[in-house]
Order: sequence, then structure tokens, then C-alpha cells
Amino acid sequence: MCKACGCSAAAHTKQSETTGSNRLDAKHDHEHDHEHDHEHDHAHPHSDGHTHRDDALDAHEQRISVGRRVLERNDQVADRNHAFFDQHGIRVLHLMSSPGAGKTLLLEKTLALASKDSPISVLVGDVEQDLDAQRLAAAGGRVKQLNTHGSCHLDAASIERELGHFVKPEKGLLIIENVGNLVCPAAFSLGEHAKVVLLSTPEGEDKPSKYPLIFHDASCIVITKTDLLPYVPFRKEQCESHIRAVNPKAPILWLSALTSDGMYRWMEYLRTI
Amino acid sequence: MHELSLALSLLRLVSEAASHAGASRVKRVMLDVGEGSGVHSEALTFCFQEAARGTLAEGAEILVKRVPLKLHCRHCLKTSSPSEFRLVCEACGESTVDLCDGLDLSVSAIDIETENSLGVQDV
Repeated sequence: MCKACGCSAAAHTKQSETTGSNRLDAKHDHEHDHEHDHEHDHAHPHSDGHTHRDDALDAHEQRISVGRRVLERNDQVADRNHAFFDQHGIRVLHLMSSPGAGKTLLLEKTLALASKDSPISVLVGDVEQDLDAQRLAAAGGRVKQLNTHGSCHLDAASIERELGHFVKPEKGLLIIENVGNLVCPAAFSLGEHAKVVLLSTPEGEDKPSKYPLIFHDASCIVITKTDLLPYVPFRKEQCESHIRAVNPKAPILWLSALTSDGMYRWMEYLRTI
Repeated sequence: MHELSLALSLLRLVSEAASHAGASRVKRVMLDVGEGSGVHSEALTFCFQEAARGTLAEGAEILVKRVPLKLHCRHCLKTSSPSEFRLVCEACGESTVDLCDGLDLSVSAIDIETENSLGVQDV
């Protein structure tokens, strides 16, 4: 269970929201004396009546205009991170995927192929343990493990803490490997220049439609484990179709980090970040 | 998604706006929830109400307005609101669209009571 929101795999589906199965939904069993011509929910404590935004205020009430995004604070920190990166010539790639799609293996192979004069640093996020950092260090990488101890994603603040420390103020490529999760990282920008989302062939060709936000925001989408195509019911054209329904422009790369098939295209892409 | 964590951020934002306006109490929060934001408004409301206990937002009603996904098509220049997260223009069927609304979670306004208007301090 995620400590941040208490979510489990089956929680918070759109289905239960539209059928109003939550006990806090106020039932509409009282008379309406005005038209509802706007979309709204009545997500408030069960009470005898309900109020609408366009109802008149009581004499002792005042409406204060706010106009602020709830996640603005993360975005403010992300912007500061981005400014630090630009100031020092650091190009930053944010790598996301579901758990087990192959982020770490892709990075191991990337570090092995990278040229000595193009330094790559890696910040890797996991809930617990430094197993990924160990693998990347063994592959010759300059790496630091970040542990969230319960939270299911890195946020901009976790990266800000490393600026000027692990993230040195000098030119290079920084790759941030997020915690395996196709939902939450989509909402938490880290200040990166490019968001790369991985999808592995065993996960199924329709994932992009099921997780539209993260695939929509991707600068590049990488389909991994192409070596398993003969063994899984994954159709390349259908997958591309699902991707294009939510992201019309991002380049789609096909590769197998295990066999190195397609890795050269990935290394080419890294040069464009 | 992160309804508890979002609720805490929402509470911080509401409390800041309320304090800045000299509020003694927050009566209502007008929350705009984008259809593409991944936010579950009932769960968020529940978490907010729990988190707001003992604060000036305790008991505040959350009035949710769903903000539909809005696409602008570069091909036919029309704006459309798909019912699903599919980046295809509803008017002409092309995917030459830009997503211009429906992804955010934001507070448009809050209704407050101030100490002066009541004459007595709420406890």
C-alpha cells in the first residue's frame, strides 16, 4: 500500500466514480428548483440540502478567487531544478515505466555503450533497497540510489535535494530512473528536459490507452523486450495505434536491451536530448 | 491517484488563501477537476475532510466542477471535448490536435467567513 495515498492496485477507478458507489455521494432525492446545465459532482458531507457554486452567498460570507493548481508547488520546484540544469549545461532525461519493464537493464547497457567523453550520471528511485544502484555501478555508472520508503514516485523535491551534491554543476547527461509506476509519475514533473516511457512486450499492446496521461506526456516511447515478441500476444501495429491515439508525435523506439537489438537507435536518441 | 497527498496539498493551498484573506473559517472550496487529471474527487474530498479537522477548513464543503478534456484541432480549427482520453478531433477525425484543458486539479475559489462579519470568533 502506498503511504502517500493509501492506494492499492484496485483503488480509485473511474467506474466506481461514475456509478457513485462511494458513500459520500449525496443522493438526488430532493426537489431541484433550477436547471443543472453544468457538469458537477456533489462530493460533500451528507446533509439535508446541497449548495451550488452559483447559489447566492450568505450575508456574512465572502468569495475569494484563488485560481491555483493543487500541484503547483511541485511544478515550482521542478522549474527551479530545470533552471539549475540549464545554467550548468546538464541535460536531463526522466525514465518511467511499470515495474519490471526493463528500465535498469536499459541503463546498464547504455552505460556500457556510452563514450568516455559523454559522462552519464544516474539517480535511481526505488521504494527500498539499492539493488538497482548496485547493478548500475557495476556497469561502470556514476549512480546514486534514492529511496522513497513508501511513496510510489519521486517528486521534484527529491531531486532538488541532490542539486550541487550528487548532481554536480557541470555539463553532462543526467538520467533519473523513477519508481516503477505508470500512474503517479505522470503528475510529478522533476524538471527534466525529456520524459521517456518504457513499455515491454509482455505487458500488452493496449497499455497506452489504459494509462493515457503518462504516454501522452512522453517525449519518446520505448518498447522493450522485443526479443520476446515470438512468445507473447503483442501486435506492433496495434500498439502503435494505441500510442498514437494519446500521443501523435513522440518517436517510438523498438529494442531489446538483452540482445542489444535496436540499442543504437536509443543511443542516437540520447544525443538529441 | 494520490488522494491523501493531494488532499494535504489542497489543504495547504486553501489555508494559505484563507489566511491571506483574513478568514476565520472556510465554508466552501470550489475545486476544478480535469477529466484527464486522474483524480478521484470523492476520495479526495474524504481525505480533505479528515485532514482539515482542527483547521479553519474543518467542515468545508467541496464543490467539484468537472473540467472536460478540450482539444483544439489544427486541421479543421474546431474545438471538441472527447468523452475518452483519445487525441482525435471529434469534428474531422484527424489527430492533429492540441490538448488545451482538462488535465489539471485546481482551486478556482473559496467561500470564507471572516471574524469581522460574524462579530465573534468561531471555535
